[in-house]
Amino acid sequence: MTAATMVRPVDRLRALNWSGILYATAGLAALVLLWQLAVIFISSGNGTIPSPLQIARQMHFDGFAFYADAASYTVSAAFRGWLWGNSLAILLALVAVAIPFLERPILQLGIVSYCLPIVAIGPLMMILFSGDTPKVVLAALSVFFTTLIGTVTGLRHVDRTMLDLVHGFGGGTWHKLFKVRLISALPHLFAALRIAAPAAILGAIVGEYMGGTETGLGLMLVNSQQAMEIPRTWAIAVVASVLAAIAYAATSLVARLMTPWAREVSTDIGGLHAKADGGGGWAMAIATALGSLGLVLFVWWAILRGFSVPPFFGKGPLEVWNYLVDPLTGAQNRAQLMREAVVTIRDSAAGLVVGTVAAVLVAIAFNLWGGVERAFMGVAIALRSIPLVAMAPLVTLVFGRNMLAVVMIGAIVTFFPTLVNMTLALAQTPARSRDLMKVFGASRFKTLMTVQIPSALPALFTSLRTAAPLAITGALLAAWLATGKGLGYAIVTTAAVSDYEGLWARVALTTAFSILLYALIGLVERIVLKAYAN
Amino acid sequence: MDRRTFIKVGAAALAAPAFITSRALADTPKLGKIAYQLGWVKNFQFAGEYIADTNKFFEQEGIAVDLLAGGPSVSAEPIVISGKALVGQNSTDNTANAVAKGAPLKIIGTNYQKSPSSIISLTKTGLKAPKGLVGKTVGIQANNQVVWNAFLKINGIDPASVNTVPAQHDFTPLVSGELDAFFGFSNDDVVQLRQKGQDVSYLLMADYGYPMFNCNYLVTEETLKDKEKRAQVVAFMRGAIRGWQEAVKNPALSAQLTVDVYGKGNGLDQAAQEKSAAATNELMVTADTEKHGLFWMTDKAVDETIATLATAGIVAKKDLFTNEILEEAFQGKTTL
Repeated sequence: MTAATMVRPVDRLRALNWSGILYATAGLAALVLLWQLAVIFISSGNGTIPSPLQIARQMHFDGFAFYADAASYTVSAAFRGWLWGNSLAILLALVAVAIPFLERPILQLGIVSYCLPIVAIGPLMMILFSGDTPKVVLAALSVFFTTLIGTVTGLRHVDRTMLDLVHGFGGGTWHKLFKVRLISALPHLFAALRIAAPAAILGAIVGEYMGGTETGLGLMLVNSQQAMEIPRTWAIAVVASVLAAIAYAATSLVARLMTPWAREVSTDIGGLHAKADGGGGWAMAIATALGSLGLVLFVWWAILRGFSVPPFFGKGPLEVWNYLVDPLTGAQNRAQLMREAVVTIRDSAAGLVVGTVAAVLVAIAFNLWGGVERAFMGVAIALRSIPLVAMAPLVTLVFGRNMLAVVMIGAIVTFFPTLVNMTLALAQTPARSRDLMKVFGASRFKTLMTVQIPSALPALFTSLRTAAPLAITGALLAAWLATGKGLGYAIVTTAAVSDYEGLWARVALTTAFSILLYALIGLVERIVLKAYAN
Repeated sequence: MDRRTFIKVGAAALAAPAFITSRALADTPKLGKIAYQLGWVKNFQFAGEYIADTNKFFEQEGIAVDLLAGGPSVSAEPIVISGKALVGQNSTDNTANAVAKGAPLKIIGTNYQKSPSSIISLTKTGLKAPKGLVGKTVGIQANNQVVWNAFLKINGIDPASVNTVPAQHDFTPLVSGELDAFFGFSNDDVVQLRQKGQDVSYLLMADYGYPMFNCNYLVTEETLKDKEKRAQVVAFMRGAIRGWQEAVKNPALSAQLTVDVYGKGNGLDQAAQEKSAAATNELMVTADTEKHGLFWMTDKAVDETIATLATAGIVAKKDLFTNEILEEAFQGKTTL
């Protein structure tokens, strides 16, 4: 990416930057004050929306140890998941770069792991593993893809002359990998790890929330919801987001200490696909697509067999195929799936569009008024880590259970990654172009429109690709929490009546949609970027 | 976070895996060790098993029992079939559905003779009979959808006349006024709501043409045929019966063990758990259990449950239910 090769260091999003902390505190204080006033003067939802003061009182009443003990279990599981997920991701990224032949299959599996609906695979984890393992696995799954992509991108973003230099001195692939690529991949890796830390915590909480655990924040959430301890439910959400913010800040700090030469980078997936164009044309593209599909189906089958999942529950590709083509019920099943799919596609598209537009607008506002960014970026990061299940009653109370709620849930889920990427990208505009605009007396706004936004386009597409599977997750979540319509709800109702063929068919379909949407955005990206390049 | 607490928290995080291993290494009694998959997170609903564990009833019966916590997304049927747990607990409609789909399972006893399934509303809503549901917005969890549809059918209510929306186990939408009624348990959710000062009423489905067992013990058919496993199940059920006999007498003990030992640190409220435990007795102890012992499923009640399931569109055969383990456990007595 051209933007990445000639940026000057930016000091945005820095941890332990005193003026940054000051701004962030101001932002947080403003938010808390608004919230308090809203509860007092607008509505407390018949006492169901606690004010910050009530939450603070609840936390004081419960005591520090109450939250710290549960949090220690959650963090322990999150940390193990973080370790496993990232280690595996880094290892596979190295393999992918060292053995180009394996790159596509590895990335494909990564995408699938990112697109799997957690509502469906959570129960599978409960059957396959015992003890803490299900939540550790869910935490690992939450970080795997972003780190895989971050590492591969980093390993690729290498100064060619450096590689040539090693080559000139007689170094082979492995020398290049270890002496040059690894070091220069670090900034990208850290960018990914920074996102991974809050994601792992959220993954562990969701895992606990599903059940099968002895303790932890997620389980406490279940109990407090059931006991109508509303301020405590919110307090747990606050603790979760504070933990996530700490994890994010700690990773940022380590990143700055270990890679002091690095400029801030976004987790861009874009650079990855630019090269994948390769030769071969359509025939080759179709062949690789079929190959990937075959691989995914094989892994699906192999996991069911390898872990000896009871056939009553674990349905493989063949059973799902039969479910769809059964001479008696197949047509009915297909029609039903189609109806649900239409709802889910519509809901995800709405969430993706609204979430992205909102994130781009906010990123522009951040760029135009630096203070706003420093004040609210921290808040945005913290909000990202709130388990949405805890906020479901608020969402349905405020937004209802129709399209508005769907759009809001989808937008909340997709907003954050786009905001982070776009904010970084807008800040990374080639300095020379910006200086040029200044010399010609262009306004701040004009510079933004003619220089910064076009050069941030690749990052926008990167964000869209990350956000697309999230938008589908958001649509499933909205169905489950609010509307009761579409694939998301059918996944839970089929599970409730032990219709496991129906369940797996829907999981497969949802995953396929995520991958298709991901690929579709890649295609649009290529067309748009080509048009811009000309 | 002050320094000492930080160290403590860190140490707890590191110690957690070690603690689990050391427990697994404890001596196992003569019939070995089994796992029981609970139907929900560790709360009062499993007090009998907590007492059996604490008072060493299981140990005296020659068995060690691992109590596996359940939760919102845990279904006992696949877990029992996979062998991760020998015995599991779930509601009758869930198990009957699984069996209809080819799961080789049997129900060997029931916790609740009378189902606690209820439609809960704020008293001021004035919902006094099922007919009043027409035109209301009702929150139903996905896994209770089948039960709900059957309930409407039995009471002659057109499902299209009620606005059914998805819900979880969080009753906030009922209190905030977003929903008019909510599906929940009379011995759990109603108690919790009242404990929080909410004036709620409920329609117990069992009182409106909906007789059904709930929260049953289930095992695989293969377990019943295997001599060794069968002996383990009998020992487990003996321990559970003894534990529940104690629990029925002593709701305070049930609550105390739930809050201080088995569900410790998870934010359960002792007073609410005690009230729930007491409210559970009227579901567990009936004329039938006085005559045959706890968990017993009489022919009449089995027939009624099957008829209710049929209304819900679930085909269940009579041999889904068997008292054979209870017969072995009770040995002709009605208490142990």
